[in-house]
Amino acid sequence: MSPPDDRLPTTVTRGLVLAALVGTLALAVSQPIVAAGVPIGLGLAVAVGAAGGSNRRVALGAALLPVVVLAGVATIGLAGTPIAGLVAVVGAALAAAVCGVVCGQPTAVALMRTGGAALCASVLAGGSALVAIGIDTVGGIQAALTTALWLTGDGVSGLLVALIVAPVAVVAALLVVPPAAVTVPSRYDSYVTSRNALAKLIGIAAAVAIGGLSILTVGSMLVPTLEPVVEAVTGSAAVRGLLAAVTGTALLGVAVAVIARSVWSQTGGRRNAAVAIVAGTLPGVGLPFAAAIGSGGIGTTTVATLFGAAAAALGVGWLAAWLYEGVVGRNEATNPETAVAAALAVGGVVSGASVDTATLSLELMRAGVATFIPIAAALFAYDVGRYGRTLAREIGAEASRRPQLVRLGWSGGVAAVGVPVGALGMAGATAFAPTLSVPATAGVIVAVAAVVGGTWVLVR
Amino acid sequence: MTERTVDRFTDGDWAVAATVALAGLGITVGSQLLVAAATLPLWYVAAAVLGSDRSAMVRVRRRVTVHDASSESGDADEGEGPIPASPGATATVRTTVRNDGSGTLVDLRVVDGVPDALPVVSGSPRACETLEPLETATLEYEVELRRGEHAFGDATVRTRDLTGTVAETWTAGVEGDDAVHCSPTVETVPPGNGTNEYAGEVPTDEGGSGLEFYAVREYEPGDQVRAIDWRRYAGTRELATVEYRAERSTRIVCIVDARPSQFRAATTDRVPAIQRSADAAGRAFEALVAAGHPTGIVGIHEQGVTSVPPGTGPATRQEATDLLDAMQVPGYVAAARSRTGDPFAALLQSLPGDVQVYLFSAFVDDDPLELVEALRARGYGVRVVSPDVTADTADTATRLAALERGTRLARARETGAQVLDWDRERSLGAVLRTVVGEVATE
Repeated sequence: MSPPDDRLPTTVTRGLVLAALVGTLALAVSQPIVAAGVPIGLGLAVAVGAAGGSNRRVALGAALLPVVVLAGVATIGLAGTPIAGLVAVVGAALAAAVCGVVCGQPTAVALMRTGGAALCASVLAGGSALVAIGIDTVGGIQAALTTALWLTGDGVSGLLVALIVAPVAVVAALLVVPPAAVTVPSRYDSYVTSRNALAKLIGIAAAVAIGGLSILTVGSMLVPTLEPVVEAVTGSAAVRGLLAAVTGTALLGVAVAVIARSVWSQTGGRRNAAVAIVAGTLPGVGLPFAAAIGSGGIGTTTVATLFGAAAAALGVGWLAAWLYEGVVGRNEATNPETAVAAALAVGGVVSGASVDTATLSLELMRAGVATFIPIAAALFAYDVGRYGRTLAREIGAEASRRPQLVRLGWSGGVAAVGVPVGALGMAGATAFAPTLSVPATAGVIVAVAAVVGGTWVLVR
Repeated sequence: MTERTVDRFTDGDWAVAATVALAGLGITVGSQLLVAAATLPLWYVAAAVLGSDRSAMVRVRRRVTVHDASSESGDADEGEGPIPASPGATATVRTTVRNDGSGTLVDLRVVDGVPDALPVVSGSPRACETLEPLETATLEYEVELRRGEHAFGDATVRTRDLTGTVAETWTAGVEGDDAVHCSPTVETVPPGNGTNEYAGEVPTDEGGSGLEFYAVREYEPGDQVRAIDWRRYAGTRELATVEYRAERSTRIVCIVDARPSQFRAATTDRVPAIQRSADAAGRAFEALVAAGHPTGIVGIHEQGVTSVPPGTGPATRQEATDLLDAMQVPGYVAAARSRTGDPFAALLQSLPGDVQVYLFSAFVDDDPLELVEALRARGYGVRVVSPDVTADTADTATRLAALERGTRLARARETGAQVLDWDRERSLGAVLRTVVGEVATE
């Protein structure tokens, strides 16, 4: 009786989702920030899931990953207290685990690509943080742009250098871009002819521009009326901006082309997603950075901190994805339903541990709800998850609903009975003694355990 | 029915561990809430105590219905010997389980004893149900029939109580149908019309000696007297000669593409193309030899070909069977390596000029298409049976490969070859009937 089936039966899956929903709502009663973690976890799950698909989906996932991590870092940063930050992480983990229950475990390929995207985004985020620090050091965006425009120097010499660097960068980009990225093998020869002709045209245009500028400069020494023209050309921010933009774009193209060449030459298969990962992470990091810097509402120091922390988180994410990929490859990965139970239990424990004194009050009631219900939901999820895993292994994911509903009802009933009993016991004890001591509560536990043990002995 | 095995799972261990962990955490961090929450897992320990091992009684009955175009009726008398069927057909199996006990079975799991050789193509022979007393549940699934006699086994039954801590497992005897007998139906199929100069049984598109009327032409000196149309002579006083459709002998070569590219299946749980090709070639070979047509086998490997010359004797049959079995083994190296290392060139050089060609290939690359074009250019009659290993997958690369394969098959048809795109859902018997039927009506 053992046909392997990775998917859980549908009814059990729905029961687990319901348990996660109830547990999350209960946590939100005491720590509303858990709700902020949920979309982050969903985003992470979507990004990882997309990484296992076509190149277009990989690019979308790679773009989404840094955005989600930036949002997560911002959420934890704004949470205020470590407990709130931890609860937000629990919310994210819970949402991701629920996605794992519904959609299945991420594949080793998806994890490998996610790790690659995390590493690439980490480097880009780190670079963005350094750029933000540079902007802060220079004195603002305006000053940074000005510095970038006049990087090659003032006057005629600076313009000449810019006129040399820009076409060289464009020609380099033309030559470095792999032909396979823009044409098919049957048109390779015509592509090479067109590319060389375009490179020559750019070279001639650059030579004409440099020659014209040189003639104009020499002419201005002989004809004083030409001096204003030379100054206008050499001092034009528009000319320098155009050249800087062309140079920057071309250098970016060169970088991407070099990465593409290196990964394409290292693969024996046809499904290498490195280009899609790079193409996704570039806007995934670049657009939020441009928005944060360009909006002006966020200080450059804050932006640097945000992107620096995101770079660290993405680096840790890369390491985690790499390690988890090995675990998945060895079929030793934790089942997602166990992850759901663990996340719920951690949420309940964090919520319970955050209450210092137990006096009968509204705060204690909220903390009690946020402690008892998530832990009960965790127990339910673990029990039902084990049942569903056994059922999937013995019968398959298409098992009928009725026995599953019976088991869900039984396990839910056991979990539900414990919550009011525990809450009433807690309230009663608190009413008799304004501050219930921990040893006294432990005594209650021992008493209950003794009753259960005695019943067990009698029944057996 | 075997002895029942009762397993009691120590289902409360994890709950005890959770209790201890929560209580320990609560005491460590000084949280009364956590210590109180440590009572929650104890309820699962208490619930596990309620588990009981009541013996369940179930009755299992099986009904097999064969869906076969060649069969007059799919139903047979229940339980009276093996059900006759044709290989390649499908059979619907309905196994009914009834709770004959007095208590409700909250978790009854049944696995029917499907013969290992018969793949389940739809439905499932497994089920988990909740059954009230005297209530029944039915497992319905379809199997693809293979040649031979296949006996269904007993059903494996497992019940669990409400708490899930006590499981009882046993094998239950099944009433009703218990076996299927599949014999091949392709032995009597006629071959195609590629013939040689020797007299035989295959009708041709030329006049000569035979039984079927072909045409009437003007008398030529030397025509046999018995071929003269005397009725026309009596009416018109003109001599005319009656021709009958010539019947000639034919030799057939079944070419099986056994290159590494053929060791591919649509998914990991399906048989690869080489296995399906070799199976089809083997059955076609048997049918043709049984009809008296000298038939040979050629295997195309990575760098050479292996062959069994056309023949009808027991030695030829044995060699053909051995070759077809050997080429299905991954890594099988052909004994003969061509001088050029090009198996297709070697095949074209060695193929006799008066044979029909049956080509079995998945067409996942261009080489088989080029072979068909070369064979047609040399005047061979070619029939292609192409198992589809690109169907029913959502993978983009495989879908692209399916498009390319479809284009290749279309181009093969344009050469005049008869092409049969053999998808997995279609039984092999139907495929062979179609192939030979097309050939016969040419």
